[in-house]
Amino acid sequence: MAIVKPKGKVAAADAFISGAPDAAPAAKAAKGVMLGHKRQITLTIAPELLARVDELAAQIGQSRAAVINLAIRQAVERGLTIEGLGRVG
Amino acid sequence: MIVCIGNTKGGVGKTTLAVNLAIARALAGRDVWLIDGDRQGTAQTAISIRAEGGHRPGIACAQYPDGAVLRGQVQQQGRKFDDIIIDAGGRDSTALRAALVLADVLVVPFQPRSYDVWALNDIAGLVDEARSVRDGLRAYAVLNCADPGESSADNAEAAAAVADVPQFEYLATPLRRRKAYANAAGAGLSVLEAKPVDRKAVDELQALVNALF
Repeated sequence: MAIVKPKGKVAAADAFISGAPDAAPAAKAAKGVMLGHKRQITLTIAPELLARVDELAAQIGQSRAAVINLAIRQAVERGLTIEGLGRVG
Repeated sequence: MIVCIGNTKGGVGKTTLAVNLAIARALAGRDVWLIDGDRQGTAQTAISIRAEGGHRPGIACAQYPDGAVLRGQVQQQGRKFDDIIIDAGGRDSTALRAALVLADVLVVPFQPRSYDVWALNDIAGLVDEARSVRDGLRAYAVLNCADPGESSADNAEAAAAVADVPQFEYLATPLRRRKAYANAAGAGLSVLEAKPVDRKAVDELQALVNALF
């Protein structure tokens, strides 16, 4: 439709009310990049640990990312064992 | 009728006036809803003191500092009441803006002091904006805490200054600075019912009520 109707009074009133200095700020858009259904993040990792991840990946014929994702999924679902704290999560 | 007692400036006696007006209407047999649009909740506190003191009639009072909530509640529940008095402001806020969108009448109390007169321009700007999104908002400026005496020069000058702010009509029913208002409001009462009776305060408030309703 090429004809744009003037802003309705209700919408204008809403804008007027939410224009006050004490109005809640609009929700911030989530940062970061979406790749398909996944989010791209930046991860720093110790080189020795990365070497072992790659070794494991080669062993099971998966990509590095697949191994990292698998490990994280297992950690959040089954919990982590941390020295001093015991099993958490 | 929905009346907003509002000013972007604080300390002009909004809450004292709102509590007095709400009780005056209730004493006249109307179903009144007093809405406190201020986070401080002074009106709400005054009404709870009234309730604890067992004073009749009781006043329905709600506190909505959030403009969107205030508007939604008044739209849903407002029909159940004859008169709604909204105490809003002290600063530009969503509650004050929501009240300006809802109210039939805006009453802006101001003192006969330079700062108060200057501040009329701020609330006038909001009145302009409110009028651009709605129809039929009547706006009155009324002197509160006016100097004693009929011949006060400051009262007259302050009243005349309203003519420079075309958004407002000056309501010539000033309330003067009297302890009776503050003492009564602190006890959750209007000057109409407080003892000992301050006849002059009663007459002033009655004149304002008659002019508004």
